[in-house]
Amino acid sequence: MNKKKLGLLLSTSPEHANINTAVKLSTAALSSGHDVYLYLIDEGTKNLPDARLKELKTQGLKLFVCAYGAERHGIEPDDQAVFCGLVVLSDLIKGCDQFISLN
Amino acid sequence: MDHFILVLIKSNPLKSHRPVEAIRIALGLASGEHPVQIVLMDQAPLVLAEESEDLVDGELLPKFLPTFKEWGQTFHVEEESWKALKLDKTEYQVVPISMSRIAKLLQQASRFMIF
Repeated sequence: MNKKKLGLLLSTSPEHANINTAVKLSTAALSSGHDVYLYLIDEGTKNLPDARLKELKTQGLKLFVCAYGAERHGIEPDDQAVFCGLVVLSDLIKGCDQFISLN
Repeated sequence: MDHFILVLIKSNPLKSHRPVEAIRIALGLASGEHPVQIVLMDQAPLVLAEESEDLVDGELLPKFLPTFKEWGQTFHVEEESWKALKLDKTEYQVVPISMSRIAKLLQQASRFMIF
């Protein structure tokens, strides 16, 4: 199997259906043996406590959170994710075979 | 491989913080290895207005926009929006473009962010 890297950017809050799309895409890609990188930004940082993301972490999801966005939206640092800046997002855009923005 | 990133901003900065956040993200990405093109539609070109105090998070724009000015970054503004908003006094490099030209930019880009 040709292992691919899928990058996802999520900028919307938990009330938006985009989190469901992100979870479904991540689940499908991970179960197919691909690497998945999910970057939460802006209001997307509010999705960090989502139990489905914690479950996906156990399946190999690499989870990143915009540190600036987390601070702005009152999200406390959490061991579940790497809190980082836009340089990491830029690297993900470069390194992933496919990159999908869910805005 | 470097990717040509298109950041298309269409949210209304008078009602949403997302246009200002999109400008911040575009700046962060443009400071990396990727060429970034910014397209502003509908009310979004208001982020380039001289007065930004009525905009949501408008006070943050002076942190981000001057760097774009320094770099000579072009802001592509949908021409009908440009005419309607009458932003003739902007200090940034603006190119009014048609919807068909925006479609061509979309064809050329390999990564998209729409806010």
